[in-house]
Amino acid sequence: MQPPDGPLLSIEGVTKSFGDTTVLREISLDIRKGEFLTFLGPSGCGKTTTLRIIAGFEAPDCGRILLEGQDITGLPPYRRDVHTVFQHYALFPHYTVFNNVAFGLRIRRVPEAEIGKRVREALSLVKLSGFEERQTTQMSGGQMQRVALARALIGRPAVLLLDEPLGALDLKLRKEMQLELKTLQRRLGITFVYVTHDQEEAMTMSDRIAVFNKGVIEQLGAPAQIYERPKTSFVADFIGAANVFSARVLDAQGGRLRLRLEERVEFELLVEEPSAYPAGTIFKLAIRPERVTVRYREDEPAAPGALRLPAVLAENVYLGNASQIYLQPFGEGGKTLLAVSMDSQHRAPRAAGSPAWADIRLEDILMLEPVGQWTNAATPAETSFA
Amino acid sequence: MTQTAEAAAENLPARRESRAEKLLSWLIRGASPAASHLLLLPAAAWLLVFLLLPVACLLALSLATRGPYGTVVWSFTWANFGRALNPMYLPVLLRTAAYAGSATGLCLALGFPLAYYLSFYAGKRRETLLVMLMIPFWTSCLVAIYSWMIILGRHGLLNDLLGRLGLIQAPLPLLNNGFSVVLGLVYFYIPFMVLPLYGSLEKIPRAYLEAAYDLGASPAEAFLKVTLPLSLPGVFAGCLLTFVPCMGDFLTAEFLGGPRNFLIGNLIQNQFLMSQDWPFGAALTALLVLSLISGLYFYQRLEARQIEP
Amino acid sequence: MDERRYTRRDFLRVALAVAASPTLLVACAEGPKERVVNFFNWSRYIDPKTLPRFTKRTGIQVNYQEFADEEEMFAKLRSGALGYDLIVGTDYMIPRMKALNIIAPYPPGVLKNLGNIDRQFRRTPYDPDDAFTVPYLWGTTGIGFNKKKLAKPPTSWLDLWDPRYSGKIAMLDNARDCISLALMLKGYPETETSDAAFKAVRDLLLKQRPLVRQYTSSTYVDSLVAGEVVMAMAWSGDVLQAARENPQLDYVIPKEGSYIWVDNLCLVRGSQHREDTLRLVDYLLEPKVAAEIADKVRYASPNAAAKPLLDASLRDDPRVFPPKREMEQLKFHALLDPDAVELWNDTWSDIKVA
Repeated sequence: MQPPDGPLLSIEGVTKSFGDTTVLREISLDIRKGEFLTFLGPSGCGKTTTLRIIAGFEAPDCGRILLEGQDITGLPPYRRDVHTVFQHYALFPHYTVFNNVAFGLRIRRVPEAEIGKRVREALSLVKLSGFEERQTTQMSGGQMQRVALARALIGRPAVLLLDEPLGALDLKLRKEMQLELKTLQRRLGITFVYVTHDQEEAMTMSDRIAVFNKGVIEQLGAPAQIYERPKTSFVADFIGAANVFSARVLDAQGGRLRLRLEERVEFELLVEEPSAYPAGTIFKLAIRPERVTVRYREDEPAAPGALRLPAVLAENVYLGNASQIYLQPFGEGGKTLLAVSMDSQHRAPRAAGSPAWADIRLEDILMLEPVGQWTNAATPAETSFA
Repeated sequence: MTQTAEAAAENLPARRESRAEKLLSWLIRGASPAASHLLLLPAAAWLLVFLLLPVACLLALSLATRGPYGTVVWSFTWANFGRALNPMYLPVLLRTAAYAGSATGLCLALGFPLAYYLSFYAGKRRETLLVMLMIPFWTSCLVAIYSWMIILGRHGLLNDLLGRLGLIQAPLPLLNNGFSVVLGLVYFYIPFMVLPLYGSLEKIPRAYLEAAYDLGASPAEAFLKVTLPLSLPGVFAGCLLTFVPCMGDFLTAEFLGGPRNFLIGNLIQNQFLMSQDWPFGAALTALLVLSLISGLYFYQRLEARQIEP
Repeated sequence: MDERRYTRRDFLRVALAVAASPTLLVACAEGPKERVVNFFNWSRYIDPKTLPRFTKRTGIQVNYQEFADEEEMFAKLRSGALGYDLIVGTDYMIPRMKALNIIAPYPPGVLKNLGNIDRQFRRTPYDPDDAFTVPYLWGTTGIGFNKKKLAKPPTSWLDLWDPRYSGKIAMLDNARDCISLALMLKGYPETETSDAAFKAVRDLLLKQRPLVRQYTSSTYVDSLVAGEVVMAMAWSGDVLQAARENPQLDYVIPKEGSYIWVDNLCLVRGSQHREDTLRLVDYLLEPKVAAEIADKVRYASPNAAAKPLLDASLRDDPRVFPPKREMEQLKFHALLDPDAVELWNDTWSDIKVA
């Protein structure tokens, strides 16, 4: 039985293959009532397939889908209380706006008078009042998007699935629609499951984000959590930008790790679970570019407890709202460290090769997944990644 | 962050379509998106090269006079049309229209499920099945007609089989009647129905059907509300491409029909070959072509009204 | 299987032959220097050995093409199809082809074997000066029937009007055979064009129409063999060929008499290979060659010198060579003026439409 505060929709151990390609590997996920959950990941990561399995267009090879505690895995799409907003809208070209939006209600034999009322309500909700008799083929992408939304919302589904609904819109319209969708979702209290490959879109709208990669969920959490505490280098790199380096654990004592960064710089880091970091293991480690402070004079004081990396300036790019500074803290041929700063001192061009210092606060150093054991033969190539 | 660069790329003004691209997109999508110009294109080219030019000659011929021994005297006269409009020929025209109509209807009834299967369920077998559908085109139609005569005869394969199964006591009259003529027409022209239907069904994005299911429509409802209406251009094109050649067919009626199944095509053929009265044959043909072209015109008007708001 | 049956109107075989040889049209566009004769004949209307032997003897290639429908052949030639040198045309076609300048006269005295032709087939109504035609084969129009399905063999043309055989009768599909028959049965001469005569003709043929299974000149033999029809207005050779393998088939010239038709070798006007064509015609007139062809196709040969060389079963068959008394009942079709031809054709067309 469904406990009163249990998940609205549960995905339990879902695996799916197309031919020889496994696109989903034992995905499990609970979706809460009323939340805005985003499936985020690059193309081919399995996010759309998961959505299609929830909608009922694909059957999982194994695993279950539960909606309000009921197993709906075997139900055809038309028996599920779940509606979809399709990537390319999939509006019926032979129907007017009104008839598109009314489609679901007509199928359910709702009386015409009520249909008229509800279609007008739905269209006013998506700001398309007065467009009832328009032909959908004559509308702009944004308008078609709104019609698709109205058509899916009018049946008041338990869950609304949105498959990259803003993908075809231009940037400005997309930003507007993001806010509008979020507002709409809060107002209606309908659970949204939203698929996108755009991390900024995901950050803007979601209550929680599930980051997909190669058929598994790499991390599930609130946007801030995903950004501040990424668990893997994939997440760190996909959400925002990150400098990813390797670090070998030299020894771990009393919650304090002694690490060797890129086999060059040694420093100590305080962690919550030191037992997870056995000595001799190489881990990935991420530093957000905007958390790097660049100094051009050694005598400038660093923040207390910050790690200071002496480096050489490789390039300085001024972007208007910020500057990108590329540093080489690990010598020529070593990995580059990117810093992003809004500090006005970086606006002036500076000659490559000038000495610079990168200050990084220890709490901004993010420990990620292990990549292997250190041996004397371990080459930097093994631990190199973009 | 690199979003700004992407944004700049996306904000570039859309490249202007070249003339060739415009033409291509018109051909593929039609001036109004759902119109099926591509389907009509072969028919249009066919009409231009193989019909329009001969029709001009035909019209000239239809206004001439028959000379001795089937020669043509180039004098201007409406007499051939007067003869062609003789009420005596009306039953032939009506019979032809009825046969062509029945054949078209049967082609649609048989062809739609076939095209639907090809488009939605055939999968890997699709290519093979489409080729099989075309095979009757590769054989001489006379060979096919003789085969049907062997199958449908009083002591033919079908009667023989039914007799052996004890389903009939006496042979059924299957040959040289309306049944065998319509059957022959269906056999010959069903590919003309199936191919446009298949084309129009193929063009329906499957997302439309998913959208319908998603909104609660059962497969039957989705078919009636989405697939069927969106396949109508194919239905019209298929019916047209079937009905028109059926109206002009004479071989089927000549071999599979009897005296009561004389069609307008046979009448015309007789004028050209047997009676050596080319001007009269030309006048009959001109009237047939004229009625078919006006049919085509009304079909296009109808289609335009269906597609446009 | 190749021995199956010879018929002049074998659509099926011509269709297959055309499908099998796409180079046919290329072949007839050959230049004038080529030692070749383009011969356009009814389908299966020659012994397969005849032409190769001619080529072997003379070195002249024969490009042999077949037609199943004489009207189609005529339409082709009339619209100016080039490249044919020698065609086979039935008697009634000759005035037409002459008037339209399709055929050319034979140069006098060139054919050494012309004297072999029976006098009976010279000075015919369709070629009174013997200028344009050399008779090739001849036959009669009568009734083909299935002995097993009839109580007694037909003896009169009017048996084709017997309502007991409704739906089991086939009639030839052309004005020439049907109108001339109706005129004969109503006691009019073939040249009669009066309204009264043609009203009688129309009434007679319309009375028969409900009984007719099919008007056809091409498939009636198949229908007779298959039992689809039991009686058919027929051309002698077509039925007799089929009768060799289907003994239930027989052919009769009804007591009212009938018409003879003759297929003729004609020179195409504008031919580039006149000399070689004449050599071929002369070869076909040789008694041995003419006899070999007639034996094969089971039609009667007009070649008097060939008659003693014919297979006895053919020569002594009264259905092929009718006895003298019956022969007197047989006539050539009369020469009709163009207005009469129009009247015949229109009448026949109307009967089929009715």
